[in-house]
Amino acid sequence: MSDQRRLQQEEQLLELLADQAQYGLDDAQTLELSRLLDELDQTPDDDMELAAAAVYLAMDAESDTSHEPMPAALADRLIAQGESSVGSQAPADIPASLPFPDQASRFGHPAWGWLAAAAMLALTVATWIATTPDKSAPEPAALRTALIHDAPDTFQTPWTASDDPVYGKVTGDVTWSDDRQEGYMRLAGLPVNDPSVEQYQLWIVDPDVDANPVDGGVFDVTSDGEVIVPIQAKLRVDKPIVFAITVERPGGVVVSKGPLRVVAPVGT
Amino acid sequence: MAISETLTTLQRVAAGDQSAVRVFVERYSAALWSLTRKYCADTAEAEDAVQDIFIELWEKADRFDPGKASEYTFVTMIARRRLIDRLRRKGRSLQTVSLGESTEPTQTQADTLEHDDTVRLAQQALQKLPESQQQVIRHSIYDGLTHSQISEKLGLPLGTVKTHARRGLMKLRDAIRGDATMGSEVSA
Repeated sequence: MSDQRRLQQEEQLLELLADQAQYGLDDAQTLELSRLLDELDQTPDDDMELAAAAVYLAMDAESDTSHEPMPAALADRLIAQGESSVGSQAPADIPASLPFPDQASRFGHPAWGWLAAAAMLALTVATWIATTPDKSAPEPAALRTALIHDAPDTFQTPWTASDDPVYGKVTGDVTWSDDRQEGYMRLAGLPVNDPSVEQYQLWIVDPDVDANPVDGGVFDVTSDGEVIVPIQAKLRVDKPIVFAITVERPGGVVVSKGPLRVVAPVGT
Repeated sequence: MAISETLTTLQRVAAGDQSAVRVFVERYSAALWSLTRKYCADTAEAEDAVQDIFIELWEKADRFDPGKASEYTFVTMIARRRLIDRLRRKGRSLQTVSLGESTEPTQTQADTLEHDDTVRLAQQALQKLPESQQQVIRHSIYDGLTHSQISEKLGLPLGTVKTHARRGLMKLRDAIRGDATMGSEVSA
């Protein structure tokens, strides 16, 4: 990369970080931020947002407005919710059937506030199809095995059974390494789909990255039996708490309306 | 209120200490409620929003790094991020609302900020910014105005507003990090 190009990218990065601290970012900006961080080999941090928060507090202190007391009943409710939440580990609390948008704020997982994915990518990122791998590349099964052996932080979490007559008996697991940013879905019992009608899409919930789930890629199932599908997270995920599959229109979606068909909470 | 005591609360929450929850809520409820009210159209929406904020705080308590910023700053960052996200989803911009008659800051607020190193650094850094940058930062961060609104209000070109905001925030970030070069002003 030329010095001039790098300087331009660093300027773009700073502008995005400043925008994020002031007004937040939309999906396209979030993707651009991720791309720039990758290309510039920089680690994401929240320093600019912390600065904005400190400035807000400094200005608030200078103002002559007092803080309005929170209604007592609301404070009591928050304490009760907090004591309940803090007493248990978050991943273990995730229900097999996760709530979607309107329910999220009431039931405790803001990351599922809505499936506005970081995806955005229906237009910009090539959809990958698990059934048409590069013939020269190693098979996903071999790559998965290598990941388990080679990456010490790799973990596996099973898909959760449910009462859903079609998807409830899907078995298998998710294998994922935060360090490698690499992972694989092992799936058995997921129905064969017609790619001209609908495709499966994986979503990864990592509240530390974004309140919205990260697009994990679109894929097809073309035969019965067990399949192993590489995960292609469109953003870096550092601490995923749930992997979930939805059925979407061909090419996938930016914002999913669900429902979640198959879910694998981490840590259960 | 000592800083060490403040930091301990969120760290205790992160460690699963349920008794810390009440202390934490009592300490920050007024500040977060006032902030939330600024971002929400009515009380019902604010109640929903502030619950979201606290849920996120419980979940992210272990992400708090006292070496980077004060607990109050971290809490405010999480709250602002959550509130801004709500506004974006609703397709609205921040409309600052009146919080009632002007009064002196509450004792809790004054006491908290008096001992808050991060906020003190921000105050000092703010004062070193050129007046125009201070105004832009104030209108964007505190009043919630868009860059276009700030441009119109201050009679500055939009590009200048964006540059002021970016450079001002960079300097503030650097000051809080401890690697500030506040003397080296860059013209817009």
